[in-house]
Amino acid sequence: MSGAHADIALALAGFRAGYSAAEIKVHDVDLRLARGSLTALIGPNGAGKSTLLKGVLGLTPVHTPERVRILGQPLDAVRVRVAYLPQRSEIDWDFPLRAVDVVAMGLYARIGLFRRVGRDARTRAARALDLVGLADAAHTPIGALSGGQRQRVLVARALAQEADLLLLDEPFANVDAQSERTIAEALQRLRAAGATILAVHHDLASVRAHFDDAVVLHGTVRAHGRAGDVLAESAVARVFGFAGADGRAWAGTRA
Amino acid sequence: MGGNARMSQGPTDALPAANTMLVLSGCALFGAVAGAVGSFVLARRRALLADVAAHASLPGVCLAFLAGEALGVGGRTAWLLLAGGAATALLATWCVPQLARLRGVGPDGALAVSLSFFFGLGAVLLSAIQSHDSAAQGGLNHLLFGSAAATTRSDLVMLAVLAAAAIAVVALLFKEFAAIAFDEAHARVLGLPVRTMDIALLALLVSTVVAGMQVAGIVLVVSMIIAPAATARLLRGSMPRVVCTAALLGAGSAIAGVLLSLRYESLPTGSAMTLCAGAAFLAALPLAPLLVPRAGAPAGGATP
Repeated sequence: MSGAHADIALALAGFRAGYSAAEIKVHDVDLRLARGSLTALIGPNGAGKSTLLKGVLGLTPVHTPERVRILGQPLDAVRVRVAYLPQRSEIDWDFPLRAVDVVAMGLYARIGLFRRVGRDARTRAARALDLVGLADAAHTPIGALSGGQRQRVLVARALAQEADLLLLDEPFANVDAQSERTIAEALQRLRAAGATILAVHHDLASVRAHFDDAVVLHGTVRAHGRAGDVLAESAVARVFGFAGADGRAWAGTRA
Repeated sequence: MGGNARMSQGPTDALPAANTMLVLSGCALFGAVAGAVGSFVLARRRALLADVAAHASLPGVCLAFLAGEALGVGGRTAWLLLAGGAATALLATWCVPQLARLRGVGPDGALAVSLSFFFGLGAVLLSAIQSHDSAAQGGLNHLLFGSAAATTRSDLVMLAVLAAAAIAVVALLFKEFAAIAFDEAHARVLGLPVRTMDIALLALLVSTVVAGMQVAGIVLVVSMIIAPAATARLLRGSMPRVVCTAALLGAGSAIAGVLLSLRYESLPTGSAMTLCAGAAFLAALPLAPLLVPRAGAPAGGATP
């Protein structure tokens, strides 16, 4: 691993991903995320934000893994060091699991096949739940948790994994104020510990509050830089028909 | 030993008391395995695929029967029937995703097409066997709805082997099955062997179906896999508890069904078992709302 690579947590060069050859959602993506950066991935609906995360992780039918370097290596070599947080709505919350069981799943790759979840893993899971303020809910069935609490459980699962790169799909979507605060603190703590975070984010008003950097995606990367600078770029705003100082309204994708 | 292989030929033969116990324990074993495997099948949303596997085992069983007769080892050879049934069941489940990919068919259409084609083929083969050689068909005439009384000693041995294998697989891979069923994308990113696990689950499912078809019948065996698991899910609790509850419910329904079908001779065992499993589900329905856990409290601790 060369020195230059060691400072880049995620490098994409000409990356492409989609659901079929006819439906390529993101293309020609060039992106380099420095280690320890905390970046929001923003863009209008249908811009391919989730597809980009899934494609990088090899979850889409079409993707170009040879154009992805994570911590200087291909994904398969560093899976244990990568955490993924899917959209909350993509998960079956009626599944018979307790909060602590879900968090421990972040450790399954480390534990290995055929082995049981041991005391050490349970302790780590409990600590991660404590970090998101859910120590008391460890044994609560996930179906009984509120939306914000469920999101915090997923964040705790990513925390427990102690990953170096975290790809999060809308960690702040539809959460209460307390959960939002807790999740923001957790991300700051991770970043302080040297982890790199890329999170899909919808609420433009809070991009600056929660993230240092921002990437604007619309099929491909349209802007990347400090969150404040990116949001201030009038060209970006015009391309996306973005209007309003509160930043909530993406007027659409028509150029 | 070989002479015992065909202990009884139909429900009208009275079973000696010792054999009744043997049949009961075999059926209980089947019910327990079906319930446990069913918990994972249901969690992975493969319930309809289980139905396809069950119906599609019929042509394979018939072909195996004919092959056994032709080879002179006897058509009613448990291991041969298992292999034949498993082969066509696997073929049919393999067809489902291939058909689903075709434009305009879709996943539900693929399930229906695969199920009806294979079952239709099996029905044709079964009627050919029955019209051709009624003496040799032995246990085959109860294949559709099941008959515990037609169970042979080798069926029971097979059930016991299957039960041991199922318990081993479920115990060793419990956490992976749960992780993949709960959040497949996350499991893939972790590098868990999702494909291999799905194949393992399918293998467990097909062997449960085929091992259980003599007692529960091909048409209804899927209900013994899904109904106890669905009841256990209604009753809440963590995944290990759901698996154990489903296994107990499956064993209980199987025993009750066998006793009913032995008492009322015209009642096929599979139908009786299914009715018992369905009754358990109905009985659990009013209990379910009482068991909904409250936020912030562990399961069972009620804080209104």
